[in-house]
Amino acid sequence: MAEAGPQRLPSVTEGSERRWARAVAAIVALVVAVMIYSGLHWTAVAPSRVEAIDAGTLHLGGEFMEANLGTDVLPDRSVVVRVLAQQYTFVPRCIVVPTGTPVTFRVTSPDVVHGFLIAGTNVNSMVVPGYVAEVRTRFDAPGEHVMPCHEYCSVGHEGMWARVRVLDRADFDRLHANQARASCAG
Amino acid sequence: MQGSSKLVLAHFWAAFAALALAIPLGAWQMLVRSPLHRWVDPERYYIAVTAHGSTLAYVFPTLVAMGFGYAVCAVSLGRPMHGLRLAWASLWLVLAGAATALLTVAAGKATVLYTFYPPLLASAWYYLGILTAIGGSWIWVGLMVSHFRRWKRDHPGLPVPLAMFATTAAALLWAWTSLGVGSEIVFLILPNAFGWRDSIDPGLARVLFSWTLHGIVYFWLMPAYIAFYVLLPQAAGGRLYSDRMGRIAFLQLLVFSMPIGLHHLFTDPQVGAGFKFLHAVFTGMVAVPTLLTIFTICASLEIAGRLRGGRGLFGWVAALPWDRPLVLASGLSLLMLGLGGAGGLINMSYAMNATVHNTQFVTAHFHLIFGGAVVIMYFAIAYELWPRLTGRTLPPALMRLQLWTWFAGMLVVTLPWHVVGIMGQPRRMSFYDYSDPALAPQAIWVALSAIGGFVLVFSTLLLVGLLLASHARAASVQPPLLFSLSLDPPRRLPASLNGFGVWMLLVAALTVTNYGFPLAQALSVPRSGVAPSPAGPR
Amino acid sequence: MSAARPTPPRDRRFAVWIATTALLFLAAVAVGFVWLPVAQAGRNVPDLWSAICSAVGLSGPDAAAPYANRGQPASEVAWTPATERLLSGANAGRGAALAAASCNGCHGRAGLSDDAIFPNLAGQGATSIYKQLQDFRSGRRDPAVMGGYVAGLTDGDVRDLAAHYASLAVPVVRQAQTPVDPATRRLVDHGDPMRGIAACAACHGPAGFVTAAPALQGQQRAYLEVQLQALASGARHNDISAQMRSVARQLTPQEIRALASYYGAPGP
Repeated sequence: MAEAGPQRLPSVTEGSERRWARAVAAIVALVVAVMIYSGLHWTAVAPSRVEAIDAGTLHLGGEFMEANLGTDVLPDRSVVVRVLAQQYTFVPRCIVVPTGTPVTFRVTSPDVVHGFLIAGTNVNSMVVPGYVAEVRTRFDAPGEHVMPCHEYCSVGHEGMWARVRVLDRADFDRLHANQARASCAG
Repeated sequence: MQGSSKLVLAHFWAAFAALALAIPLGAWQMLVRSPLHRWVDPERYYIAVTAHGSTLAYVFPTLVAMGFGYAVCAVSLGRPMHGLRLAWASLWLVLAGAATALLTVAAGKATVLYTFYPPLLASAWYYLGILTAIGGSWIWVGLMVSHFRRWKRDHPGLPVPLAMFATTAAALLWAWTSLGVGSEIVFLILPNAFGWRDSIDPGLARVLFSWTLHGIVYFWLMPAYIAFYVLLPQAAGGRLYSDRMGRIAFLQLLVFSMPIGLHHLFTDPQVGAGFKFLHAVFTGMVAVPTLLTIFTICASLEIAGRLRGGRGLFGWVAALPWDRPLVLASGLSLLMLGLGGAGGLINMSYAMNATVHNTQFVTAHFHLIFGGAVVIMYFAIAYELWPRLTGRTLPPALMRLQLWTWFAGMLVVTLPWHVVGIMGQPRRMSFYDYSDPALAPQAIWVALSAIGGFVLVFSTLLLVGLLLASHARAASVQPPLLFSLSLDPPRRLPASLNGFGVWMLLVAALTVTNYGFPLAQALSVPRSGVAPSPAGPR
Repeated sequence: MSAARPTPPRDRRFAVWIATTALLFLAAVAVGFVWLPVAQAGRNVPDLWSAICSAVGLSGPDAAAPYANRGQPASEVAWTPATERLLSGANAGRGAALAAASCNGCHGRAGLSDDAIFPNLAGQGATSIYKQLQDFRSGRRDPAVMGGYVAGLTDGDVRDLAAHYASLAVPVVRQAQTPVDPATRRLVDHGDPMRGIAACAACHGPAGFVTAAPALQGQQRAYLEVQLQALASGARHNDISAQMRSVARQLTPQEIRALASYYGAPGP
């Protein structure tokens, strides 16, 4: 560096910058690689179905009629949970799901934007009225989780907490198999 | 500052007045949702959040960017600014718009948060206020571009000074990225607010808003980065390592800041996963100019440190003049940038974002990176400009105290905040029931954060106080503002590093490729319109 | 912006950087629209084209679990633009005449009833009255008492009655006879989040208003208590998508009584 006169200076700086640029490219590539890896091996998937639904008439008929809300066991033993997010409750307020089973949440709203996460799990989704949000997951252990609304939905937002009760598959079958739509909402 | 001093000063005073309004609101919010305070009326909380967010997102950083931009115009181009009347008009528009919006919020007629969240609907005055403020800033954009072009026309073949080049890049970025929120307000929200339409598609609105969401934070970031390149090396007593790399970094910020906004919608149902992944990859690209900047700035500081006698691998760090506010602020800013940037990498990680989406982790992240790393540089820029604007010096010890308390306050506020986010605390609730066993572990961290809020209030008061107090001193002749010299100042530059025409075409192309289909999809989805939901009391 | 002259041919940067960006875009597209969806679909997706479509967000006609219309809607009323348009044509004067003909006998000439079981209607929201009358007409709300009175009404009649009552003076809020119990105050202003009870004030005012959520202040105390109990037990179930039943179910009988006392006017 002591010898670097004006003639050598650009090559010194450019050389170090090129080395750093390669390091930067490697860092960014690593981050993207981790993203891809998580997508492949953990099947961490962002929601992708763009599915519209008429928000104003949900209760009159169709998938999100009141009697359709709750946990539904399909013929292949997987589970669909239909939830309505409205100002300011989730319906059903207490959601029951079995362990060790593919669970699909389908959620929509008749009024404003909500969102939900199930604490301690990877379930996290926006709920946009006019669209159906779908999240797939699997619960490995029994327990109870809180499920807050995590998007501002006007002045009652802080009161919007649901619960998810995870039961052993056997217990779930025993308690809820006969119900068309199960919930622990009481 | 060749006739522009009053203009620049007015912008910074307005900005700090906005800050002085918003920071106590923020501290109050942190307090009342912590276990240290009883539960408050939720409506008051959300009004405070709307006011705090609107001020600090649309008013405060815009004013700083505008004021600093005018200063750059006045100083770096070697001749006085033109269009001063237009510049003053733009300031008045910004202030009038801000006042309109904030008064509407205070009246409880706009409790929709600064992100609007249609189908929630506020009074039309709120949106008109925001639109007016943005419109005022567009005049500033026009003035920056006009100064750039005139200088180039009058100095054909010469490199545009880096400060002006970067400022123009910031202006162009802002103009392009603000189209998203502008379109959302003009085409979707206002027709409902005026009663001309009775339905709104929230999915489309969210996609349009996301167009603005990331570009705007880089618009906020630009003054800080510009200060890193053109003010810091000089203040540290060294040279800028590379002028060219600076231009490259600013061009990359211009190109990649905007077409990545869908990373705010990773868990939304109205966009396909392929586009979410595409935006995640390009978000990785926008990390590149930051990493390049960190290298260039550290190298520039190393030159300064070694010129001051620093030896060894890291000895030059200690040799730097940390007693100078700009140097101190930059060091603190880089620390917070590192921490905040790490949080950003987690947020942008596509599907893994689901672990933190809409938890307090997100809020903690942007408070650290914007409120921390960027805003501390805003203070440093103000401190650097002040003697040249007012002819009065500022007390170095108090400036350093103000910067240290801001830094400390920011860390105390945001680090525990990140922790509660990881614990799953949802955003935007006016209170939490910490007596429930599921939430009890979060209580201590929220309480810690709340304490930090009051440190920040103190720091804000100190800032305003020492700036006000300086006017009591006698004015004296101040050394002129000098921008940093680079190690190898370019005598000629290729067109790619001296202009924006082709790069703006690239921005437009990326907008089409990255946003075209998602927008078209949201526009064409049938039956997704929803009745607007007026927010707040009738 | 630079003048729109073509760039000097010697500057390779444009070509290099635009090409790099384009390559990056194509690589991201290949991974995000082809590789990841195909790898993640596993057995569920038959072919490459469907995988790409799913990544683009085009949902196939398939995959969602089957469902059928089950049960009955809680209410036939839906807050659609058509309903809004109907309500906007209301004639309160005509509603007053209709009320005089049959409603005032029980609900009072000024919309303030003499009997604790008959609700006050004065100053009530038009959407609220509209919905309840329609629910009586359709049988979604138990028509045992009201059925006879609404049988002959048309949609326009219902709309006009709602406008009439909405235009009447709101009941004067009575002075509190006893200090409000803090637990009740808390329920009204803050709800009980972990029990899934939002603040009453968030929907019924003054903090916020949800369409058709009735005003509660000054209502008959006994009427409020009976209705909350009916919602809690499910005997009354005309609240759209169980919006009130979800909340009422969580309230204890003491809380129901306390809330009714808080909001209600004392009986005659």
